[in-house]
Formats: sequence, C-alpha cells, structure tokens
Amino acid sequence: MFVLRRLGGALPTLFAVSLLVFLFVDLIPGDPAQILAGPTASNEEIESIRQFLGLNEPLLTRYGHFLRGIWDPAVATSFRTHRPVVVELAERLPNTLIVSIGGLVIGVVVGTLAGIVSAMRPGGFADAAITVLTLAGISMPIYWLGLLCIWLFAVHLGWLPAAGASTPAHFVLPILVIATRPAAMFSRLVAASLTETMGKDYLDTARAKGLSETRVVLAHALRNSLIAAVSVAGVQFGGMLGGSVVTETVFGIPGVGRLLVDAVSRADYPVIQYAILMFAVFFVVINLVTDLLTQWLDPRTREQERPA
Amino acid sequence: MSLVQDMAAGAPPLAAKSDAAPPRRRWTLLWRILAQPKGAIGLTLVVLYLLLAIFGPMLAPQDAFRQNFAQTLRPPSAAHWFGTDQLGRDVFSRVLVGARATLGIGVGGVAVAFLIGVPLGILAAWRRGWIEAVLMRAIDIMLSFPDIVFALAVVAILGANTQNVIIAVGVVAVPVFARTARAVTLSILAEPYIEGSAALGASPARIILRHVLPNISGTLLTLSTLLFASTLLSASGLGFLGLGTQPPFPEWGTMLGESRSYIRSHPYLATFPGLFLAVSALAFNLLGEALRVIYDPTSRRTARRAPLFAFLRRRPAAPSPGIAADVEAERSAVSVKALRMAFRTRDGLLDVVRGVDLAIRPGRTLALVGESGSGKSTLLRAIGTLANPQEVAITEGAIGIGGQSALGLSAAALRELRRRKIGVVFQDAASALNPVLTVGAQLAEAVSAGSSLDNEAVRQRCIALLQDVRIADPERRLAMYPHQFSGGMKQRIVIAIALAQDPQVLLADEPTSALDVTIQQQILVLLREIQAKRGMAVLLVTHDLGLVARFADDVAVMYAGRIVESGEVATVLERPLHPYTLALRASAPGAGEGRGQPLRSIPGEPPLIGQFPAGCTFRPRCPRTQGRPDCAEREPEPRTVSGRQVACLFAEEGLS
Amino acid sequence: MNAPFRLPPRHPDTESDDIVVVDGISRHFGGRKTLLSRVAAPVVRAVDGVSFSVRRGTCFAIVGESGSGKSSLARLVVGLLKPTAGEVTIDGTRLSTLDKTGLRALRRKVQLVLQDPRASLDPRMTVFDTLSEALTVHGLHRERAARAARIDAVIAMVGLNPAHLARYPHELSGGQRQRVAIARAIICEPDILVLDEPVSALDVSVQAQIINLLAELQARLALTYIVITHDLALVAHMADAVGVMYLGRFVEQGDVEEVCGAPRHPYTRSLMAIAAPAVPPQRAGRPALLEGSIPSPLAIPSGCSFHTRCPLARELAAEGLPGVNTPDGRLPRRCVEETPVLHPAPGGRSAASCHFAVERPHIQES
Repeated sequence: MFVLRRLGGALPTLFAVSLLVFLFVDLIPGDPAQILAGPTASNEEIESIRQFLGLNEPLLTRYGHFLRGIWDPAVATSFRTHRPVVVELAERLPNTLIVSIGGLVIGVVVGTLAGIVSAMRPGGFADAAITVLTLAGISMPIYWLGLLCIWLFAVHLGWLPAAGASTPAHFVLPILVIATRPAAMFSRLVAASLTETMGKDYLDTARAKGLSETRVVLAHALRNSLIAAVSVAGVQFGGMLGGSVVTETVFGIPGVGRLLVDAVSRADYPVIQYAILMFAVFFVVINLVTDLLTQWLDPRTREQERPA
Repeated sequence: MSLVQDMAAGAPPLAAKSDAAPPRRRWTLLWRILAQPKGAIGLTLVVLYLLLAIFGPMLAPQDAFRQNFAQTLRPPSAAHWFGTDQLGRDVFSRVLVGARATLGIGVGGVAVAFLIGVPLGILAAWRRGWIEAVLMRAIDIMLSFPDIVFALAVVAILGANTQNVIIAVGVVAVPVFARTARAVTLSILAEPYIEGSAALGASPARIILRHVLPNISGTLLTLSTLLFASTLLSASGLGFLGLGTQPPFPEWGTMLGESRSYIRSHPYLATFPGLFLAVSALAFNLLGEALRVIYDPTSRRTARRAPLFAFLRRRPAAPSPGIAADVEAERSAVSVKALRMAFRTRDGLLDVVRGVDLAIRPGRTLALVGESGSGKSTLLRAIGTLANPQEVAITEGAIGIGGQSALGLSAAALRELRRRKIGVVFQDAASALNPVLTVGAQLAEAVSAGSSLDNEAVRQRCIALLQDVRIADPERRLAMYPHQFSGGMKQRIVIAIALAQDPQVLLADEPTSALDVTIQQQILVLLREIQAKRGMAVLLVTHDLGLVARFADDVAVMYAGRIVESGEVATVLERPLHPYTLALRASAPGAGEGRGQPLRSIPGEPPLIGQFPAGCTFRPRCPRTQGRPDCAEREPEPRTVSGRQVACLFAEEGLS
Repeated sequence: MNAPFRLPPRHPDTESDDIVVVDGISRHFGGRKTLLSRVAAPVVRAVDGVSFSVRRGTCFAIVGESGSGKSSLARLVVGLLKPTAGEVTIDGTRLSTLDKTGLRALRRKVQLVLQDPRASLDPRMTVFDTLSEALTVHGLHRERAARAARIDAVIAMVGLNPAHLARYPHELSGGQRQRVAIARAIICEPDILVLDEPVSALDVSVQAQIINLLAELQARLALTYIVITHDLALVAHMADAVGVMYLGRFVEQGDVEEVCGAPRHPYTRSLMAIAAPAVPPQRAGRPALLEGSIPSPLAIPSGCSFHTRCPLARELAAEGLPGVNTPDGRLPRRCVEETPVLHPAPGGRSAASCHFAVERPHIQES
C-alpha cells in the first residue's frame, strides 16, 4: 500500500524531471539549429535542420515526441553517430550498472562495518585509523585516485588491466575506486548515529534485562542507528552515482557516463537529453528504495494507527 | 576571507572560563577550532591554501604558459621541481598559478549557492504555506539529478569555461543550502526564545536578523566549509573531463585531465596537481569537521570521546575489601556501604557521590530525594549496575543486591544478577523503550533472557505481565509499537519489563515526573500494589516530597552527593531536623503558609558537581550556620538524632 | 456551548476594573486543506468557548494537564494566536480591532514569561542585550545613560546585580535565568504578565524564591498576573481566581477559596486531592484515582467531555441513575449525551460545568 503511494508520489517528480530535460534544448542560448549547422551554413540548411529537429512544432507536440523517444528508436537519433539514442544507451547501460551498483554495494557494506568498529571502540586505534581513512576518502578526488590506481595496479604491478570493459577483471579497479566515497560516507554516518544511539535509555533497559552487550548493540542499537544513516544516505547517493561519470572516463569504460561526457563536448543534444533523463530516473528509483528501506526499519514512519 | 586572516593573525587569548567575563566570541571560536587537532591542522592548511591562491602567481618561479619543446615531459629536477608537461611548461609554476583558479571556482560556487539557497530556505521556513511547498518540490526535482550530471547539463547549456563552471557547481549546491537553511531556521523558530521575542513585540524582521541569523550562522558556516570541499572536487572533476577551465589556463582538475594520457609513462604529471587538490579538500573537510563539533549539538557526544587508551581503565570496579563481606552478610535487599563515585572528565575525577550508606529491606520503599546535582540518579544507576564505567567511576565502597556483591562481577555473573534480582524503571518511558521493536518483542526478550522457556510459555508470561500492570487486551497490544501507546501506558510497559523475572529490587528513577499529575497517581498506586503483592524492595528517586509522603516508607534526602537526613517517612517529614530537609518541606506551596504570605525560602541554588563548598556543603545556604566556625571546618558525619540519621552538627535545634 | 460566566465583583464599585475580559473564545487547529494533501486534517478544538475576566492587580490561574489547551489559551490572551471565535479585550482594547503594528505595540502592556528559562533566552545574547532589546523594540529609554539606568534598576528589582549583565544564559543558573526572563518581562512597565508554568523547570528549593519574587513584584508594580500551571497547590498559594481546564473548556472557575477549598467538579476534586502537602498523611486518605488519560483533542467525548474518566459518573451509575453502556463502562445517560453548562454555586463565587455539581440527584426522582 505504502509502496504504491510512494510510487504515486514519485510520478510528479518524474514528470517534472522529464519536462526539465525536454526544455533543456530551449534553454540553450541562441538557436540550436544555428549552432549545429555551424557558422557557414546557409539559411536553407538551418531551416532544414530546424525541420529535422522539429523545432517549428508547437511545444506540446514536441514534448509528446520527446516522450515517444523513450521507447521508439526511430524518433531520436544521435547527431554524431546517427544511430538511435535508445540503442546507444542500451548498449552502454550494463557497464554503468555494474560499476555503480557494484561500487555502491561494496561501499555501503564496508562503510557500515567500519562505522560499527569505530563506534564500538571510541578512542581506540581502529577508531583513529578509520576516522583518518574516512576523511581521506571524502577528500580524495576519485579521478586522481583512479589515475593512481591505474599507475600502481596496472602499470607498476601489472595485476589488473588499465582500461576497457571486456573482462570481469576490467571492472575491479573502477568498482573499488567508486566504492571509496560511499564507504567513507557510510562509515561516518553509521559511526555518528551509532555513537548517538549508544547513549539512549532503551539500551540501558536492554542491559537491565540481562542481555549480553553484543546483543544490546546488534538487536537494539544498530537498527536504530541505521535508520538515520539510511535516510541521510538517500540524499547523498547522487554524488556517488555521479562518480560513475568520472570513473568511466578514467578507466575508459564505454558506459552511459562516458557517453554523456562525449555528448556534452560535442553538443549532441538528443544523447545529452536522454542520458540525463536516464540518470535522473535511476536516481529517483534509488531514493524510492531508500525510502522503503527506512520505512521497513522504522515502524514510526508506517501508517499511523490511533494511539492505544 | 578577511575574517579568517584576521583570526589567524594574532595569537588567541585564553578563553575566559570563569563566569565573570563574557566570552569574546571571535576569539572563542578560533580557540575552540585550534583546541581540536582536526581544527588546528585544517585551519593551518586552509590559511596556507588561501595565501597560495592570493600570492601563488607572484611566487611562480617561471612563466606558467611558456612552452618549451626542447624540455617536454621531463621528470622532477632542480630546475623544474615538479617536472615539465607535454608542452615543456614548468608544472610547479602551473600548480602555483592554478591555485587561484581552482580555489576561486570553489569560493565562487559556494558563494552562488549560499546567496541563492540561504535566503530561499529562510523565506520558506518563515512564511511556510505555498512558498515552502513550491520550494521543497523544486528542491526534490533538482535533487533528482546526480550533482555532476546536473553540472554537466548546465555546462552543456552555457558552454565550457571557468565562469560557467562556477555557475554550474553553484547551482548544484543551491538545494543543499536551501534545505539546510530551512531546517535550521524551522528549528530555531520553534525555540521558546523566538516566541518570547514575538511576545515582547519584536517585528518579524528583527526576529530574523537578531535571533534567527546569529543562531543559524554556525551551522551555515560549517556547511559552507564542508560544501567548499565537495564543490572544489566537482568543479575540478568538470575540468578533468575537459569541460571546465579551458587550456592553456592551468587549473588543477584540467591539469589532471591533460595528464591522463601520460599516466603510463609519466605518472609524476598527475601526482602534483592531484596531491594539491586532495590536500585542499582535506583541509576544508578537517576545518568543517572541527566547526561541526563546535556548532552541531548532536555531534557533541562524538566529540567528547574518551581519550586514547581509555579502554585500559574499563575493567569493572571492585568493591573495597572488607566491606564486600558486610554487604553480602546483610539481609537487606539493597545495601550500599561507604560508596563514592566520580565522573571522569577531562580535568580528572569529579566527586558526585561522596560516601553514601543506605539499606532497603524487602517489602519497603525507600524514597531518595534530591535536587539537580545531588547525585541521586547516579547512585540509582550504580545500584542498578548500569553506571557506564567510561563516564563514571566507583572509587570506593560496596553495593550488595540481595546478599550478593554487585561490584567486580564477571560479565556473565552481572547479566545473571540483572536478570534475577534487579528491575529498573526510567524517568522517560518514551526513550526507555526501543522505538523500532514491538512491545511483545521487548517483553519477550526480558522474559526469555537466560531461561529456556518455549515460545508459547514466553508469550503467556508476557500476557500475564501486561495484565499485572493493568493493560487491557494484552494479546493485541503485544504486536504494537511503543509510539502507539500514551505516556502512562508506556511507563506501564517499562514496569512490566522490569518485573519480567521477578526481581527482588525495583529501582525507579523519577518514574512519574514526565507524566501528567493524574497519571502519576495511577502509576504510583500500581507500583505500590505490585510491591505489596511481590514483596519487592523499591528505590524511588524523586524530587517531590508530596509523593514521598504518600508512597514511601523510608526517605533519604541527598544534597551534594551525600545523604543529609534519612529515616522513616513519618519521622523525617513530620519534623525534619536537617535545615535542608526543613527548607524543602517549607518551600512547597501549600505547606502551611497562608495565601499571600511569602514562602519560607532558602537563598542560593544547589551547588554544581565539582564546585561543592568546603566543610558542610549546605553551609552557604544554611540559616543555622551564622557565626559558627564549626560548619566551615569539617563535613558533619551522619549521626542518630531522635530516631533518624542526620548529618548536621546542630540537628538538635530542629527539635525545639 | 458554555454560557459566559462572570464572577460578581467583590466590591461593587470596582466592577468596571476588569483589565482582561475573555469572551467565548475558541481556537481550532487544522480542518483546512493544505497544498500537499487533498484530505482535510481533522479539527483540534484546543480552546472551545472559554470566558473569564481578570480584575486589575489580581492573579488569575489557568490549571490543566497537558493537552488541556491551557497554553493555547495563554497565547490567545497575549495575541500570539488569533481566535477562531470570541474576543479578548485588554484594558478596553479589543484585540480583533488591532492590526499587526497595533498588536505589537499592545505587547508592551502584556508580557509573557515562559516555562523553561534555559530555552526562553537567546543563547547568543548577553543579559544586557536581552534586556536592551525589549527597550529597543518599544522605543523606550533611547538615550544610552537612561537605558543603562533602567536596566540596572530592573536587574536589581529581580534580585540580580549588574555583574550578571555581561553574562550569557549558559553562564547563569536556572533560577538566575528565570529572574532574567522576569526582568525582560517587566522592563517595559507592563500591566499584565502571563506566566506559563513559571517555576516547574526549577529545582524545588529555588521555586520558592521565584514565587516570592513574583509576589513581591506584583505588589510593588501593581501587576496583573495570569498564571498557567498544572499545580493546584501553587494556584492556592498565588491566585485570586482560577479556571480549571479540561479538553479546551473550563470545567470549573471562580474564586480560589471556593474552587480549591470546596471543589465541586469531580475533576477539580481529584486534582485537589493529589496536591496534598508534603507532610505525611494518613495512607488511608489516598485520593480517588482518575482512570485512563486525557482523551485526544481530535476525538473529544460527547456530552460531558470528562465522562470517560469521571469517578462520580461511575458512582451514580452504580447507584442506579438511568445509564447507557459505553466503552468505559455503564455511565449516566445525561453525562454521555448532554453537554453540561456552568452551574453557579450557591453564593455565586464559582461555577462548575457538571450536571451533578450542585448536589447529588436523588435516584428516586430521576
């Protein structure tokens, strides 16, 4: 029930996002047809490009056209390759998904564990080490980290391939590099909220029951602190997803992020539009999942029943 | 910027710790930043970077733009400290010159985001209604784009150059500022002092300028610093992708992007710009963290961490030899002998409980009465074996529960003691129950800890417990969560948990002071009935003498960590002999004084922990002490006067 | 709806000297559709048709538990909340006739002192700034010397000394903070102080000091007090008249001697029984317990809103008064179905809204 309602809530956002991405071409200062055709083009050429782009149609028709492009390969084609945008995206999507989801999962798992260790022994050696690593992780430009990893593991040690996406080994470095940010972020969030939770009265209630300290932490403290961590993390996932754009460029992985960067530098507007739309949809879905997760973890956010 | 330099310029005077001098805020802030290692390192680096941004181009030893094709891709040397790039330019000079562009983009981006986001956020919080609804919706939509993707879109629209990168990274950070500004403004607006100002007649503009802005500035400063780091990274990310500052102008991200093609053969090209970039982000993150510790109330706990190696001290306290046998031999349900406790603080140990003796016989209720700082709750926690050894140390004495010493036990023995003998009821039932577990789960845990009951037996026991505390329809209630119960009902559930394994001792820490008066009575009557049925000993901590008179058998009055008077309720409250007990009784309205007559109040306030006066701690407020040097010389020991223990040299004066 | 009840004057010649007149005031929250939800939020009747008046120089107390609406009522009187219905008249000025500026100017005369002095002072302002702000807002004592003199005078009046002026709230103790809050309230020479639980956040031994200070200031500055509290013992000590609030209405109001000395509403009776002094009583004399807790203001019970917890109603039903069955047991029909009005007591110095306030009905008659 809640899932449905939450999905319903996401629809207006998705609509607004699609509208924004669609209007994006209109926001470009000057005439896109003029820009595309180049400075030397004749008026006829520009007009034919306008026709081709459908820039003369009414706004609503063009928006319908734009939405149709999501499933109809014939509607939108890349200016550069003249291939359907949908096909271009679909080819590259798996690579992006592997890198970003892989990075996210590894990051969250490592981060949570580090956070627990750090909060359990405050002031200890592990806590100090994790705090330093976490700060380093947040401050590290991942493109630089990527370059350093290529030099160390691919060039110097020769353990892993440097660029490309042909074998599973190609994905190891990108996933690890992309995982640094979520790992650092989650470690901080979990440590902070766990430390806060450790002072709560209900943990003393649990101790007074005669439960072991392990059980007090795992059954009572961790779940409460994850609520805070997950709801904050939901907002932060954007930064992590964005990491795939840069990482794909560093490691030469043919993914959607790289496609987007290339498209931006070559003013390939249809590709830019649909790639951004795809990232946005992806992100909305992740936020939805975070919300559902918070919901599942925290009964207080479920539908309110009348107090007894 | 000038503020930062200003602050860094002079040496900080020591922040005044005494109450007399008000803090001079600017220096206090600097001092509090420097007092943390994070802050000291971060601030130093930030100042260095800012100097670099200002003077970098002047310091550059060579022309950062001059190409020299005879000298391309040279490794670091005496002539070129960081080597030369693919066009033979001096990388060291380029890094120095690039500092201004790189940090400038960060400053510009944060400024754009701050100037747009903060006013919007404050406006939304202040006006609420449709403005807030529209803004929050817009923020939701903007946050639906991963930030670097959004920045890419802006650059795609405006074109790739330095100015547009500033706009792009600035616009991306607007929602973060707007959101935070709205949230902190809302929380400040909910503060009573805002209502106080409104009631005073202050205009909305005045409230925003004088009360809201100063109080949210710390949070916004922290946020700006932290966002500066991430803005720097995204801006340089755009540069790295070739969509930021355009060559030949040096910007660290752009330089990294150019070095990418040479990473196999000339790794040092990527090393130096990357290092400068990473360290600058680290510097701002460190400074931001230090500011967060200062301004974010929720991070205080994290900040006040135990010092390194604190874990060495964490072994359980052992009872003082000799007394341990005493407490075990006694028949009392609770027996405390010569107990001393101290808070661990940065400045060492602060005495909080200073030599307390007390005993509760089975079936009796002892009320422990005191004001803030008297140590009554700390004492209760120690008896409940729940005193956190990282925060408070038991320095002397012994505690016995049901004839067993409660100090120096192994973890397993401690659990067994807690299960079988002790039940604890806390002041705030709402925080004493875990919000994410059902009432049934929390009860079942208490019932089944250390026992081998099967599920059905546990369930039956839970139902019986809820019936014991007079909760109707227990089967259905087991599946409900704490937030679905009213305050009084939650406290009943906490009591049920405490009773789960038939404890010999029930410890209740202000069990009703968070509840409405009519509910208070229900809970206390319930406790009384349960006690009569089970024959437990009850320790009731309270500040309300009215409750003591009605619900306790014995009373112990605590002041500044010691028990100043104790005995049977009828004896002590009928005719208190200690001037403090007398004052407590007399200061309650309705205690005999007629309407319109002033209450017999005592001057002053209870002393703070760590600031107990020498001699008799009550002396500064005592009406009896006038012209009596004895009171200042030593702390009076409890002695028996007229059927009770009282720690006053002149207790007999209360009899006349 | 309760009929407006007004105490007859003690001295007939001072009848016109009511400084505060509250007439049938109500405040409902919610019930409006908002931009984001299509369903109207349920209406909360925080205050529902309350009338009372306060004579100049006296102390009126509003007593109630949490959720009774006593804080909303206080804010209505001060003009911080706008009433849904009814009118507040302060010193002859009807609040509804004032615009925002007029209302702010009126605030000089009516000051509010809040419960928790730790939270009610801006943590970033020194005591001097806090007091000075009050003068600035109302444009009083603009000259530096005059202002300093006024601040010194007020700080002495509340029992602090000029050394405290430079301190921040966190450098003061709880009692000192409350003294500062009181100083801020009296510095503009108001006529009326509204005190919201003025001592309940303080240590017991400090409470008496503040109560004495308030009494002293009232006599010295000829102030009128409206005190909001849950503590009937405090009311009995401080107030001249009292209104006992339950679920947004006064269930009993009148002279304090009458209401506290001979309470006639069963709710007041149980509150009074709880507020016994700290001298050990005979255990047998323990008060009759009220059952359950205050119902949600979202779902106010029908008839007499107190019927779900009323011990008297249960007794009467047991004695055979015609009753109906409710989730709370068998109760008299009148209590469940008929809304009581305020019945003046013999002598007319107080009134209680209970069907059976005047005397127990004879079962045979009903």
